[in-house]
Amino acid sequence: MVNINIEVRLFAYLRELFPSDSRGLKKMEIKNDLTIDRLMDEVGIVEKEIMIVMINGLRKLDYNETMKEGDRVAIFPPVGGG
Amino acid sequence: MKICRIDMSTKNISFEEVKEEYVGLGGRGLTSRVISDEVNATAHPLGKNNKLIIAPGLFAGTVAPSSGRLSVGTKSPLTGGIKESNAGGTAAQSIAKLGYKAIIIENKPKDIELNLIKITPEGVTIEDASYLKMKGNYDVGNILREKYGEKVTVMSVGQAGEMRLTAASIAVTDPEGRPTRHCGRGGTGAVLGSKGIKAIVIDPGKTNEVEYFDIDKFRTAARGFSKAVLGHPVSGQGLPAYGTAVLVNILNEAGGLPTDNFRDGRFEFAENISGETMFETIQNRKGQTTHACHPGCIMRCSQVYNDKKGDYLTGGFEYETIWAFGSHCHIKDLDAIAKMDRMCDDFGVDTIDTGVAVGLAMEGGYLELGDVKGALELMEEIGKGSPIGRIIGNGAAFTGQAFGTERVPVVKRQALPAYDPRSVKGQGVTYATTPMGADHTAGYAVTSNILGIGGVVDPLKKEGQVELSRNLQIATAVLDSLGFCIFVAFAILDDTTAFPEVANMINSKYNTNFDINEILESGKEVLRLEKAFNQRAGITKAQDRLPEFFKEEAVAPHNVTFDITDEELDETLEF
Repeated sequence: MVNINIEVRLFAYLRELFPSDSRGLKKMEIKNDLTIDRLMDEVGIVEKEIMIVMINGLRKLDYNETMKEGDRVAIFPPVGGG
Repeated sequence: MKICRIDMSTKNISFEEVKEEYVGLGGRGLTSRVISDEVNATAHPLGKNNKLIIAPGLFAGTVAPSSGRLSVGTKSPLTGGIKESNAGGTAAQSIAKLGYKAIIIENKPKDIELNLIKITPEGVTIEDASYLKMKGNYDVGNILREKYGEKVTVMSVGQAGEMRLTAASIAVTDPEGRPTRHCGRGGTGAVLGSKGIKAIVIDPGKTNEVEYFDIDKFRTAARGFSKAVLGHPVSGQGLPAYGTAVLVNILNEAGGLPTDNFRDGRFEFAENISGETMFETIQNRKGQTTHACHPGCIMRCSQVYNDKKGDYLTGGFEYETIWAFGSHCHIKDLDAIAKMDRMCDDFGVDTIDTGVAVGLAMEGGYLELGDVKGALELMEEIGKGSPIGRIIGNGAAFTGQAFGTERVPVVKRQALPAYDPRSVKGQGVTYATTPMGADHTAGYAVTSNILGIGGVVDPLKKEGQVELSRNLQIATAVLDSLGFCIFVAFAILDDTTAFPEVANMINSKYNTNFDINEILESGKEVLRLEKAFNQRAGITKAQDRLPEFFKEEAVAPHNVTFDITDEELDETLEF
């Protein structure tokens, strides 16, 4: 088991979960077997199933996936416009 | 309901009963039908043979939520094809309450004239409006409210419409009387200007001629529909809080935020112009983060954006506007972008085509990329009517041509909006194939491509995109005809109870018995009519294409091209 470094980016109201001066951005060191699902638990996201998760700009639907060193993980609540 | 026909040559105003075949039509369905029936497709858009049709949707003035969209239809001076452009604001409800199904403006004065049309319960009159010459929409509204009363709705053209520029819009006032809602796309303001009309003042007073076959059933269905819209996390929570600007960050993450004239899919300063930053800025300056563009809108995605001193600067400040003047031009100053939005509303130009045009002035070397001061000064020129201002006010295609650039992101001469078609491929299909010219709202595939609404279709792969765009284009034609704001679609796509309530509303208002399939068939019929008009106007499949560079040049970060073939595009509206 090794630790990896990732960048977590939260948007809209999810930013309240991170310190207000962070602008939703946090570098995190995590275990390399941590799943997206568990990462969301650690960050404090409750309604996980309605969130939009992207890793390096690619939408992830399977929250059992793990991450790799340097990943950019973006989590959005339901948002829209047009 | 009746139709009012105004001849701007003879100044004759007549009233007609609604023909039987028009009874079930409203909004876009009606404007496109009248244009098809009455306008020769080869007519010059600014000539006497073109017409401008103003039609509220079928639910305008009713208790149906968020149903106050107004459609304007014409032959577009921008695309040369059929055009329907719709706006919020209070006009649709006021026109419907006065009992008009449509206003048809035809013919044109022999010489340049400036008139005003007044529509009240007493009737329709044409008055001289030469005192409004070359005034912006904000001044026009203030002068006309002083003259005709605080509560009137004003539709008007700014300097751009008077000059008949092809990006000219028609402004519609919001409940506070501000000209922040626009029939923006396709140069409808130039057509109104060509008819010698500066403004339309609408005042229903206490009149309300909106009728229902069974009002109780309608109310029940409207309540059910409201519940679905408010129950959806996007239309119930996301839009009221952050407005459409919240899309900046999600498109940036997805690599679909066109940057530096479609050279990149991400903007390094996206955070500076994001919905989150806008939200904080508005709060700090005591503006309004949420605002309804018309009474009865339950999503309230609009806002009031104040300047640094806390004074009103602009409203209805949308994602597409922020993108066009922002990442497209490499500008990260949200206040400067807000000023340019204000100028667009005041001079009466489409924010998308105008912002893309400013970026093309940069592309052509007239300004440096990212030159904020230069962009603001250039925008001022539109209001002055200088030659360079007229170039920009004619939109992206014209500006690209003026500067001899090849990299011009348009389809049918209309500028592409704020989603890169290579990394949001469903949008690319819509841009290419809608009869309107590049238009994001005509089939908003961002839903399934990015937002996870109405299922998931991978935005980077071609599979499923044609079908997605087709189905959305059909459904949108229906919503545009009913006068619904397109954002009700989020609930319709995700909540199976929503669309049946739409059918219930139609049937209880009009004493009909339509099922969902028959309603969708009416959307197909609108698209067939529009496509046929375009074909008669000389717009063929050869124009249902994106500019070549989208096929040839990969865009970062995903390094993808637009790989949907011409043959696949041609299947989109084959029905």
